[in-house]
Amino acid sequence: MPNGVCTMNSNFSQLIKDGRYIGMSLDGVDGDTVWQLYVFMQRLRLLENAIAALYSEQQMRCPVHFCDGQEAISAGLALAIRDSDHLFSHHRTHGFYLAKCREFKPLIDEIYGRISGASGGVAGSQDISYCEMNFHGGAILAGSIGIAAGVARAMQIKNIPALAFAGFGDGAVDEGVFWETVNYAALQKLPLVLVCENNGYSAFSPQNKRQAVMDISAKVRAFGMQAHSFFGNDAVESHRVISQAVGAVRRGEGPVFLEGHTFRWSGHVGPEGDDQYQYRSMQELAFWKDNCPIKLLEEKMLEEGLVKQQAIDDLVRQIGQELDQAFAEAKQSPFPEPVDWHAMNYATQTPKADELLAEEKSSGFDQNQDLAIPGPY
Amino acid sequence: MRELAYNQAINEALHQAMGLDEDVMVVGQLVDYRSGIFGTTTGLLEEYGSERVQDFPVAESLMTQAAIGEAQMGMRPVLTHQRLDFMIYSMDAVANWMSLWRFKSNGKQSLPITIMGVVGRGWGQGPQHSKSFHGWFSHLPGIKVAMPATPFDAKGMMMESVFGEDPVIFVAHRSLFSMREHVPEMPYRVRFGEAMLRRPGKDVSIVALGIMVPLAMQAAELLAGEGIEAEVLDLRSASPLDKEAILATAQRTKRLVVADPAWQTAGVAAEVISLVSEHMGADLAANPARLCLPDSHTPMSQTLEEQYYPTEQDLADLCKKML
Ligand SMILES: Cc1ncc(C[n+]2csc(CCOP(=O)(O)OP(=O)(O)O)c2C)c(N)n1
Ligand SMILES: [Mg+2]
Repeated sequence: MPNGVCTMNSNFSQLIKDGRYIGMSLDGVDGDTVWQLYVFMQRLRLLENAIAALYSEQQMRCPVHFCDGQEAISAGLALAIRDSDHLFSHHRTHGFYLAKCREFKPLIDEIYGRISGASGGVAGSQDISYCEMNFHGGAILAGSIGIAAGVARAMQIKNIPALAFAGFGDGAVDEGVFWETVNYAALQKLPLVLVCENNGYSAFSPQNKRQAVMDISAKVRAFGMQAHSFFGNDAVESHRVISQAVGAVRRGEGPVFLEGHTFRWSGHVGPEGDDQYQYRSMQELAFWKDNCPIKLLEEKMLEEGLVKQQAIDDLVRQIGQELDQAFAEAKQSPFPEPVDWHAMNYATQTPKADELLAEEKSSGFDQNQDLAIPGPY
Repeated sequence: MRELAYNQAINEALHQAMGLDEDVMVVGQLVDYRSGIFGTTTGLLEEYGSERVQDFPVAESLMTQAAIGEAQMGMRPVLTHQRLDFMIYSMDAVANWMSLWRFKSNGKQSLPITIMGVVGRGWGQGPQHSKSFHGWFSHLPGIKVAMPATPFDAKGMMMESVFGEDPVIFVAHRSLFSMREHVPEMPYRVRFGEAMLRRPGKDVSIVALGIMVPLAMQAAELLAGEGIEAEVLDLRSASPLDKEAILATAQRTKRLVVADPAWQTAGVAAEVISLVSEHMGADLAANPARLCLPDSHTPMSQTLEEQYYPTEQDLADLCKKML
C-alpha cells in the first residue's frame, strides 16, 4: 500500500489487501437500496464527465470542482436526507447538490449562467443555492458550517422536525469556526449532521502538513460530539453509517460528525488536472482509482447476483440521454436580463415593520448633557 | 413627557420587539445577566426565557454565522457585542455570507439580522475597545448601518432594524448611553436613509454622524454666539445615506463640514464630500472640510485621549475658517 494512504487511513489498513479494499458487505441492506446507491453514483460520475468533456467550449464560465472518486459519501447522504432538511455545501458542490436536489437541470443551467439555473445564474458551480430545496452552496470554507448550526438551533427553538446538514472537506476543519460549531452543537445538542469528505488534501496541501493529529473524528469526540469515520469509497458502508447516525440525530440524540475517507481523482479545480505540481504521488492516486467507489459496488452487485450487466448498461445509456438533453436545453436557455442592483442586494419592502410600527416625530433633543463615562466595561 | 436614557430606549425597543413577535431573539455574551449589555438587555431573560435570550460562548464568528441560519428559518436575531472591536471575529460571516445572502439567493431570501456593537470612548478604552467600523460596513452592499445619536432614534432605529428585512449593523456609542430625551411609549420606526435636520441655519452645513451629532449641535451654539448660523444635519444611518438631504443642505448654505467619529481616510465623510462635489462642487463657496479622528489608533492616557478626540470648539473653528 502506498505511503500516503497508510498515514491517512491507518484505521482501515486491515480492510485493504494487496491494494484492494476487501471490507464491502451487503449484510442487512436490501437490493433496492444498493441499486439506488449505484444509480446515484453513476449519475454523479456521468454528470461530471459530461461537464469535463464540454468545459473547453468556454460556455461554462465559472470555477468547477469535481468530485470524481468521492461519489460514495454523497450517495449515502442522498438516502438519508429529506426534503425538509437543510443542506449547506462547500465549493465542491455537485455531490451534495445531487444528494439534496436530485435533478440535473437546475445545476447545469446554473453552471451555464442561465436564468433558469438554481440561483438564476448569479452563483455558478461553487456558490450554487437552490432555496426551494433548502440547499445552499458557498465557496468560502467553513462559514456555512456555522450557518447550518444556526438553522439547527432555529429548528430546535421552533420545534421543527427536520435536521441541518453541512458538507465539507478536511481543509474546512483547519478553520476556527468549524471548532466553534462543534463545541456549540455539542453544548446545545443541536439537530445537526456534519459530513466531512476527507480526501486528504486542501488543494495541494496534505492533511499531515496542516494538522498535528490526523484523526479528525477523535478530535471532534473530545469536544463531546458523536463522531464516526468510515472508508469513504464503500457506498454501502457510507449508507449504513450515515443512515444510522442520522436516525439517532432525528431521535433527538444530539449532533454527529461523519468522516468518510476518500480521494479526488481530478485536479483541485477544473478538468485539466494539476498533477504536474507533484503534490501527491501517482501511486496514491492509482490506489484510489483501483478502489473506485462505483467499481467496488458494481463488482459486489454482480458477484452477488443482484443485477445483470445489461441493467447497468441500460442505466448508463439512459443517464447519458438525460444528460445530453439537459446540456442541450441549458445551452438554449436564456441568459439573465439586466437586473436592478439595488433590489438584488436590499429588500424592496418591509411588510413586518409596516404592520407593527407607528410613525412618530422626535420632539427635539437637548445636546447639553454629560456624556457617559464608560468605566472598566 | 416621559424621558428615557439612550440605553433604556434600546432596552424598551428590545422588550417591545420580543413581545410583538416570538421570532425575535437576543443573543450575545452576558445578555442574560442583570447588567444586560449596559442596561440594553436587562430584564429580557425574565420575560422571554433562555431560548430567546441567550448567552453565547466567546465565539463571535459562529454567533454571526448561526444568526444567518436562524434568520433563514424565519427568526429575527439581535446580536450584541459589548464592544464593536469584538465583532471583528465575525467579519467572514458579515462580508462573505450575510451581506450577500440576498444577492446570492437571486433575491429570494433576506436576512433580518441586527448586530448591535457598542463603541467605547474615553476613560482609557485604548486601541482595542474604541473602534467604530461603520465606514467599513457602509462599503458593503446588502447591509445597512444605523448610527443613532439620540434616545428617540435609538429606539426607532432598533425597531426598524429588527422588523425590517435587511441585515443591520447598529453602532451605539457608549458615551451616549447617559443622554435623555422624550421617547414615545408605542413601538415606532425611524427609517434608514432619512436624515434629520437638527438645527436650521444659512451660513454653513454640518453633516454629522452618531456621537458627532451632539458635538455638532454644541458647535452650532458656539457659532450662534458669534452671529454665525450653522445648520446641523444628523445622517442617522451611515448606509444608506440620505443623499437628497445632504445635497439640499449643501445647496442651502454652500459650505459643507462633515463630522464623522472615525478615521478620516476612506471614510463616510469622504463619501459625503464626494457626493456633494459630484453634484454641485462648482457651486460651493468654500472647499469642503472633514472633522474626523486622526488616522491613528486610540491612545489610553488621558492627555493623549484629549488630543485624539476633537471638541465642539475644533468643529466651530473649522466652520469659521470657511466663512
Ligand atoms: C476561507 C477560505 N480560505 C481559503 C479558500 C481557498 N480554497 C478553496 S478550496 C480549498 C481547499 C479545500 O480543501 P477541503 O476543505 O479539504 O475540500 P476539498 O477541496 O478537498 O474537497 C481552499 C484552501 C477558501 N475558499 N476559503
Ligand atoms: Mg480535502
